[in-house]
Amino acid sequence: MSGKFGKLILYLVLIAAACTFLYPFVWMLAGTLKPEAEIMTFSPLGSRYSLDSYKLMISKIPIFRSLFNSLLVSIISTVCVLFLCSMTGFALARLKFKGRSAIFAVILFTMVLPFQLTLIPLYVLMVKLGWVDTYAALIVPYTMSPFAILLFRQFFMAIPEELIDAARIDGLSDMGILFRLFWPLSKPALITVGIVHFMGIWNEALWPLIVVRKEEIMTMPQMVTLFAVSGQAEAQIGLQLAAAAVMILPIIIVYLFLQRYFIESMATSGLKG
Amino acid sequence: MEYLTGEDMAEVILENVSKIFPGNVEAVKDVSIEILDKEFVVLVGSSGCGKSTTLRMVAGLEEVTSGEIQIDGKVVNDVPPKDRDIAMVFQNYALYPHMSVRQNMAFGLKLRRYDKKEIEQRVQEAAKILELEELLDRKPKALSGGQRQRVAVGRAIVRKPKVFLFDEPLSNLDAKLRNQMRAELALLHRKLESTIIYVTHDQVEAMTLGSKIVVMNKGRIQQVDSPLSIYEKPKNQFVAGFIGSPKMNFVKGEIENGLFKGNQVTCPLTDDQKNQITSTSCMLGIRPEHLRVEDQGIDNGSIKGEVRFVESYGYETFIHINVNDTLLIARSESGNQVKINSSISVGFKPSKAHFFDQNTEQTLTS
Ligand SMILES: Nc1ncnc2c1ncn2[C@@H]1O[C@H](COP(=O)(O)OP(=O)(O)OP(=O)(O)O)[C@@H](O)[C@H]1O
Ligand SMILES: [Mg+2]
Repeated sequence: MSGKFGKLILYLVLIAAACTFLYPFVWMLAGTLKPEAEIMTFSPLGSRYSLDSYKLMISKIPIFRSLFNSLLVSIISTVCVLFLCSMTGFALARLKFKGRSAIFAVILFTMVLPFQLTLIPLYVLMVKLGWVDTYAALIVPYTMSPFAILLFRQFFMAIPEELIDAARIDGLSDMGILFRLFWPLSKPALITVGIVHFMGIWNEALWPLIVVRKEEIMTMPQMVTLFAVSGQAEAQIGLQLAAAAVMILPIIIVYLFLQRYFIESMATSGLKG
Repeated sequence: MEYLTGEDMAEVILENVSKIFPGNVEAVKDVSIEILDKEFVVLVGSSGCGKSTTLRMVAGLEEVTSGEIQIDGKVVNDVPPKDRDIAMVFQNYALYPHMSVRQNMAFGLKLRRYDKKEIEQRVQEAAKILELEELLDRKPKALSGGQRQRVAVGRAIVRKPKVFLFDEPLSNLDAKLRNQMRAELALLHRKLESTIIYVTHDQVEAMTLGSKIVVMNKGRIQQVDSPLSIYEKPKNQFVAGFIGSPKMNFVKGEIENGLFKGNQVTCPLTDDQKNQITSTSCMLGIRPEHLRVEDQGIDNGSIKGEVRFVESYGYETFIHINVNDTLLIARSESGNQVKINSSISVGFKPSKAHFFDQNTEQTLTS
């Protein structure tokens, strides 16, 4: 009896926790559909639902252009991270060269530096390179990630040495070993890095605000932020919520597709680390 | 067998090869071996003696610190593994987990740009030889240990390499499967007529598979010989103790007037032995199978002691005899009734005794 009762308590707690996470999200989605006057209530339910907020948003800001920009920037930088960081991780895990551990230590160290600290020097660099108001400024600083390098390195170190020996005898080069042997064996790592990095750069609003002023290359978070704080939204909550909803939609879609691998890799990389 | 038999000559020669790992670990010291075409050479020795390192240097997976390795007359010190025309079978099989059995076997050929038809023919033939036809589309995960081992062998033979390298390929299999695979490997060698270098720490594998055995210890070669010579004429005490199961018995003693005496053991020397042995103190070695209750007599060696315990295998029995606190082992045919703690004396033919120098541990006879 007590076992059953304990289980009941456990489920109640879990459900309560799930609601805490889900409620703001549901509230936001509901808010985009409700009449403006009813948004600021506790209940997500409204008297009627419409797409008015979305229509208004589309008429007021170039949301599709910024959606395109966001996709472009996020995809290119994620692809770069997958290639470059897996190559770095491979070198750190599997190649023998002088200064390997020193390089790894430096990379680890950059993980503890908050982004705000490097913001100004990075901005100055962008100005000197003449990259302000270009896609390059949005993409290039995000083509490397210490987190990704670390994850790849840990994953690659767990691959048995004999497999690499066999591949060398079969005729694979270092690059071949990375892309034809390690990549297929590291799908969970690739997917984790892909999702985490994609989400990170997709949600990034601060850096674009600093290096981009031209509306044509603004990303969505930047656009939405500007839209919310400047007068354009005219303090219409529904509008702002609609913009936010559009912004998170791609992330949710990607996550739903890949969540199986994502969870798997979080579990395994934890064990192997 | 039309697609997989090689026609090239493949001699492998190691000349004064040494390997020093970072941290000054001398894994292999001054090793010279000549391996003839179609020869089955077994490198044997205890764990950590440098067998794998030697093999990996032949494969090109490990750089040679000094010395020279030749394959088929060419010095290959600076040739990468893929261009050495060798194939290797690993202890843990090292199959690519994301590929099917067929893809695993075909991979090396695909990378060498063989045409599809040729690849398929070779894979089919290897699958037939190794009885893998039904399993070609499975992933390694779905195979048993023995099947994985077969695939690993298949991956090597489709390449038709000049030289096959095996690194303890059977040590992950259970005893029964190991015996079976051992027989199959011997058969395969005869079918393929190829040069094989085989590493093991198992002396049974070494004795049964090798046409030539290389015994190694602490990075150095101890003896290179046919299995029989290794057994009958060990060059030093290490080889004598390593080959043979149970281990050879050793007794310290002195020789006086053609008679060895030491620790309750006496042995009259044969004329041959008398002529060759000049020193007086030495180590006598006698294998358990030559220590027999039946072999007692005045012309024979003899040992007196107390029975400590008896191991019976049914077809043979090993008697552990305590002689002044050293244990010696004697073999006897089964059915022999010996009581524990009773005193016993066993004999041996002097011609079966080995004599080693107490300091250098080298044999005193030849
Ligand atoms: N990469 C390495 N770096 C440093 N030392 C090594 C390395 N590889 C092997 N060694 C050392 O070299 C010696 C020989 O190793 P090796 O693997 O050749 O032994 P082995 O005879 O194959 O033993 P086993 O039967 O256990 O496989 C060992 O002492 C080992 O510790
Ligand atoms: Mg080894």
